[in-house]
Amino acid sequence: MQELSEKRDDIEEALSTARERGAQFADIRLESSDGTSISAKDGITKINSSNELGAGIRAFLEGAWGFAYTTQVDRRGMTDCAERAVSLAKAVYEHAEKFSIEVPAFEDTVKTTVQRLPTQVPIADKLGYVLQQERDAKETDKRVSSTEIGYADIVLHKIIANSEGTYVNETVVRSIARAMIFAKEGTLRQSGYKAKGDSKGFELFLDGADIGRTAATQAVSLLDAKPAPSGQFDAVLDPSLSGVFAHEAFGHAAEADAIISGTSILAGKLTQKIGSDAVTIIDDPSLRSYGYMAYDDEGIQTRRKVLLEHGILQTYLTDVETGSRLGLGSNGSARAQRYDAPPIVRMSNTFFEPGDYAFDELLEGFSGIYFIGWQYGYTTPTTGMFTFKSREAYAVERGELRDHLRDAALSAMTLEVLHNINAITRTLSFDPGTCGKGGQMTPNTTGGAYTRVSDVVVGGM
Amino acid sequence: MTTHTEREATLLEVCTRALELVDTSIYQGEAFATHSNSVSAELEKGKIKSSQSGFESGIGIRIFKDGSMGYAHASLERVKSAVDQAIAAARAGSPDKDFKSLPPAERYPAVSGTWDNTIASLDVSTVAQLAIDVADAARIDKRVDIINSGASVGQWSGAIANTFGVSGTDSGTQAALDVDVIAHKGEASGNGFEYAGSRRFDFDVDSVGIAAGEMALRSMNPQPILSGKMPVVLDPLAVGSIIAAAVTVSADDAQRDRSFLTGKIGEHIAVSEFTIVDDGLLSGGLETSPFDAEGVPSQRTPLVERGVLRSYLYDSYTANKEGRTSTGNASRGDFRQPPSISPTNLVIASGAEANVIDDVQHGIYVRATGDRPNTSTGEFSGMVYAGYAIEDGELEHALKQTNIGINVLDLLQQIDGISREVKTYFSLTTPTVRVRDVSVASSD
Repeated sequence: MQELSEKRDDIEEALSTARERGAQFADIRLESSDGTSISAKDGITKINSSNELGAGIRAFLEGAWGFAYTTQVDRRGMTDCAERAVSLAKAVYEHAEKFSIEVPAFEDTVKTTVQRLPTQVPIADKLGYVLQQERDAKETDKRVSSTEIGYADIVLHKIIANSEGTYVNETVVRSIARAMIFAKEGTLRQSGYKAKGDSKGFELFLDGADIGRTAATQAVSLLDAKPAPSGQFDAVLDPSLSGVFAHEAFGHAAEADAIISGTSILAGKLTQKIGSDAVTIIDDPSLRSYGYMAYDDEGIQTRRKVLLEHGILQTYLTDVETGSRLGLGSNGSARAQRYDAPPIVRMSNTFFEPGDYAFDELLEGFSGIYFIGWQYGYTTPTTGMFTFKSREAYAVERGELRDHLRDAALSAMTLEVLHNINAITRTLSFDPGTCGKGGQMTPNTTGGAYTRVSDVVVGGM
Repeated sequence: MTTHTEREATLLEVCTRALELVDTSIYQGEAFATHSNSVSAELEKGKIKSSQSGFESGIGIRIFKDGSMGYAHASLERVKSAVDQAIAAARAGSPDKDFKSLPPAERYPAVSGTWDNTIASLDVSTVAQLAIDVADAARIDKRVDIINSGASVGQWSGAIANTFGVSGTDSGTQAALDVDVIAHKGEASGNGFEYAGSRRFDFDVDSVGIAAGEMALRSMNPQPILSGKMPVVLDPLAVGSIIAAAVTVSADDAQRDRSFLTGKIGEHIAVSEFTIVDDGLLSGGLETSPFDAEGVPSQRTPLVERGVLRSYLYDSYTANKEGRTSTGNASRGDFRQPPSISPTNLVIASGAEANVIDDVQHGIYVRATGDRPNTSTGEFSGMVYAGYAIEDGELEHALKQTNIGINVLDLLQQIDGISREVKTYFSLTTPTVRVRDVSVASSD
């Protein structure tokens, strides 16, 4: 592990060089990380050990950003990198939309509170967990035909500093495990999936996090499932799909860069009622979950943001640039994949506030499709049309579960769904995931309870 | 200024020295080192938002002990720690009796069209101008009011070596351009986009911009279509996400019985006009190189030939498992990842038809779908992300909330038209393909 705290003089030298060369503002993210990932396919392991050390530097000039990065993190390397960032901004700023930025300054050190730091856990323990999940999956049913377990942890030290005086030193720890299990009967093949992840160390896996068996049970149960019907139905979304709706369909539209670039259905709708009273959606990076961070990647302290409150749009997710341009200020929503990418507006832990229904009450008298788990999905940003493919589903008639369905897709318009949500259950649960935007991947959490919504389009085969 | 050939020599030297740290009486080892740099610019609503430059180098070390794989990567200054970590990881893992050996040294074929000196010398102003030009070209009509675009160029050099004498170097250049357009009139809006990627700095910027602008205008006022079975014409982009995604099967998936094409080698899975080839040697291809990510010579592999399934995609591990040779399909994103199996350049053979839409009385044209086939079952069910109705051989209104569903095995047998003209989207070159009797359902 590199000792980052001794770098302060070098960092400040690089920042003042950027200012001297003409940047109106400059910031630097110096990152050092240690990670381990393990994959096990049908009992065969592959172990990948990862160390990163590097710095990314941005220079701002009259509305244009220059960004450069380096793995040479001594004084010379970082100063050269700062000069490159300034030259990039200078080369293009004449073609930029002019605006100024406001950057609040923070100084803090945030240490990790995890119980079992992954860098201090023997690799044999991590392997033991992974192979146990494989065995559990195989033992679930004779029809389990192939197993794949992934495990990854990271200990990340970051220093975020800028020319306004910010100097934040934060350590973030994350762990995740995923199970993808295949089942086969005759010529029929199906798969099941389960993940568990958090901003925790290895203690996350010591409480019987049984992902292998859960995924295997799903795969086997789908062997008897039927293709989904097509048409218009009422729907119940499980917590996992509710969370994905909060993130994919609503959350991305609430990102302020989409508002500014004209690609969001939520532009111009602040303070308007765009959803039913049942709907409150939060993004909270300060929540200790898989997307946790005390400071964002522009060194702004993070906090809970109520994006939608009882159907009324309260705010967007902003970073320094978009917060300045929209007059909202940054609410700490800037994230970068790694030191080699610039921060952009991102979500963290995004979820529906729970409602006051019990699950049985939600299903009472309900006829339609009950969707479980997320395979994949996509959204058309300008119209808000989205499509999610679920992992499994049930046809429900007057509150009774009937046919088990596979590969059921639901499709609808985001703004219509927000209005058509008419009940949410009491129990909130979270799922870890990875979000991609602008070529950058970040760890995120999505969450929710069971959500009932009228009139969605269901697609099957 | 260091030339790319000098850089290749330096990288190979680093790899060779790394492998000297590996005790070959116990371990097999592989070292892969790269150096890359890139410049890019991004426009928001027609104005510059940011420009970026990156250069990085690094090494990835793969070590096997009794088939247990350990991997580690590091910057070029910390090679020894990467070797030590990869060895420790290999020692910790479980043995694999199916692992035979890393690939042996072989002669590499020559490749062409992968390096452009113009790209290697471009500065950020030129790249920014490209993004500005494509945005200007997209402004074909008053209704086109929002344009976001980006351009990037890059070059890289790489070297690979293993403890069986594999030793190879390669360099390449690449440029990419993208543009997103929104058209508005009153309440109506439409989305358009276009991308281009090339080894050379040779974009037809006007046609890229115009295509995005036209698509946005055409996508306004979407309407549902009467549901039923009808001909579906797949744009090259949709051919990629439906057909190419389904028939490029990793041997690893086939061997683990995870693919709907498991056990179908030699079978007639498609109409005899359908041929798809994985071509790692394609001149100017974005995935072209003399060797793959583990130093196996690149080759041209027919996957489906005149309708008959010929091959899966192999790396050396899956090939050794069957006692055959690798197809050179080991691939990796960068030095941070160990190799995994993926296609190189895919080429679908062109057909005989001058126009695959002309004969369609009532059907749809699918420009893009965000869905993909279920590769375990072969089932495809997806929303049309961008598409149009076809009436009497003409493209009509955009489609609203329209779903198509078919099993890929049926789809491949129901292809009844392949265009003469082909289009290249990044690493896929394909004609437009017409399929009969596909279930199409719209809901309002």
